[in-house]
Amino acid sequence: MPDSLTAAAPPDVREAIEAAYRAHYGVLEYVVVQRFRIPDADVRPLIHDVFVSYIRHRPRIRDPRAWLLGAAFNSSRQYWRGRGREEDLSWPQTVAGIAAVADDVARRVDVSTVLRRLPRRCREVLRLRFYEEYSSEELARHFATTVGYARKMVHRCVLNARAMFERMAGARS
Amino acid sequence: MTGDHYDDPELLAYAEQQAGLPEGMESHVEKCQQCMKRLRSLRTFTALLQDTNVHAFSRRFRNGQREIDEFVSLAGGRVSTDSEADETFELLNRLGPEHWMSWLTDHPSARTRGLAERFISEARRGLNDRPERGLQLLDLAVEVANSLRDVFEIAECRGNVEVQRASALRHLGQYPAALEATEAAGCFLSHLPAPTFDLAFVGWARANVLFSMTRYAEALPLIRDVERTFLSFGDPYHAARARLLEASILCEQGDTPTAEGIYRDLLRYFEGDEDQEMIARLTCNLSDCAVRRDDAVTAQSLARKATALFTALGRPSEVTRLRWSLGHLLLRQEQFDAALLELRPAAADFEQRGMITSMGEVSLDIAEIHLRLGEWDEAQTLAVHLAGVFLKADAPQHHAQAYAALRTAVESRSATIELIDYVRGYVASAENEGRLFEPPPLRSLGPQDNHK
Repeated sequence: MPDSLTAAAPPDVREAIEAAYRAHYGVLEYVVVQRFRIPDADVRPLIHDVFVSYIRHRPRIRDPRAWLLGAAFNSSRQYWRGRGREEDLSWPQTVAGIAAVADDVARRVDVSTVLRRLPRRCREVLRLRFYEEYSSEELARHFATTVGYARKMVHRCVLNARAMFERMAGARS
Repeated sequence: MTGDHYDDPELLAYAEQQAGLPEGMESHVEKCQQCMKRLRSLRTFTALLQDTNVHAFSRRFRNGQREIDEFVSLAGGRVSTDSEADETFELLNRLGPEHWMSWLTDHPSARTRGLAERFISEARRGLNDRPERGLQLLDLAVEVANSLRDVFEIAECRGNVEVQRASALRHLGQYPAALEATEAAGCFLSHLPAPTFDLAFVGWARANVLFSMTRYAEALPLIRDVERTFLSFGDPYHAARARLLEASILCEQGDTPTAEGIYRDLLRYFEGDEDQEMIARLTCNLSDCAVRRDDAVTAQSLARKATALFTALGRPSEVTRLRWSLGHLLLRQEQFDAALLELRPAAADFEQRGMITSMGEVSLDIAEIHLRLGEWDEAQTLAVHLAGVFLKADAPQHHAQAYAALRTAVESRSATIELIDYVRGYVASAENEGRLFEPPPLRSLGPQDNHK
């Protein structure tokens, strides 16, 4: 193990790295998994390498979020090339374009987090309604209730989820 | 409803086009800005809930604390190693370079990645002005790097050394060796985790060497690829710096208008960034474009502005290059005395810095002036000196042959402007490396013709 892995970190470094990880890991993971289709077993090592590279270049990086996303894109492309596949991974070439991708992905990561944190029944309602595309009638049958109540359940769960989502977005900004 | 507006459950039902909606709801929502805004927001949110990726992602589990601790430790280690290296380097500076190697031998614990990087950054800082000293510093960095324990740290340091070595060798006109250095850099750095950003710097260094070798057709796609890589990292700063080379290549290929447009765009960008060095460099390049447009007034004005900027920045070799550009311009305008006032100190300065390739090219401009003025004695003194300088062991052999041939021609009073032009083209082309110099077929062009 190199000396650098056993050294104590100054508080400002800990704060900066922890903040970068917490702010961006989820977005990187989402991009790598959902957009670039990296197999599960290789996701964590790939993002790990991206963060190590980020730490090496930190002094000359002006926009950490864009840089980390760009590194994830380039590493994913290399990943597929290394396996003999020229995947067509489209990626913006402007700061504004990358920011738009990052914002969009961050929203989706937040909704994923909301889904994870919701009470189990609500999570189930939203999954069946939006992921499995159950109709109100199918939901009513599934939960052995009336169609009207099934609709109310969906509305309540959507609004709970959105309230949680807005609290998360507010806390981040 | 709440007040005059529908509440969220009603708007959700409306969004889902459910049956049994309140009468008049549709016309109200279409006219009411507040309800419409909330409806859009709900639709955006439910669209996110419909994204199957979002649901799939919500089932992933992670606990990153262990990983965070590892990254914090890695980053903290680098910061503390860098800080210790700064102190070590200050101490070494007080000792003087001749004692550095023995001090490092006596203090093995000081041999860290940070110190190797400190040597590399010191070498980079002085590459333009003292490339030979830069190479010495890079050799020290290799010594330190080779004693590191972590293979990734060794690869990182050795790769960064080779990137800078390529630049130093390019400044010294040793282009094939510079290309080899970029290949070595690529080999080392490609072993690092997620190396694309590192490799962009290798590509950049290589494109610079190819540019210096006048291999523009290879340099151009390479530097454009480097720009795209920087942009993919959301890094317009490095992309803009790399674009400067793209414009310089276009300029050398004869596309002055496009190059000038790019220089102007870049100048605006770097003025916004208050990057004085890039402002100076771009001003210098715009001056060169003006030369190519035969706009001598603008060229001289921009060159003087760039000189002032480089002087303020403490970049003497850049000032020397500008003197050369200005002297060359004055030569083309047949203002020979004024040209000599710029070219002579430029040649002397390049020679003193060990940048003999550049010194040789400036000397050709001076020789041309002497020939045009029929000053054979001065031309002979210059040609003898020039050929002598290139007898040095590390001088490119094909340059040495060319300058020896020029000396012979001047001594026999048979040298012509045509021969000088030929030598200029010959030494500028790296393709002549390793080939015997063959003088151009002589045609009758006596000294009297040179006065025209």
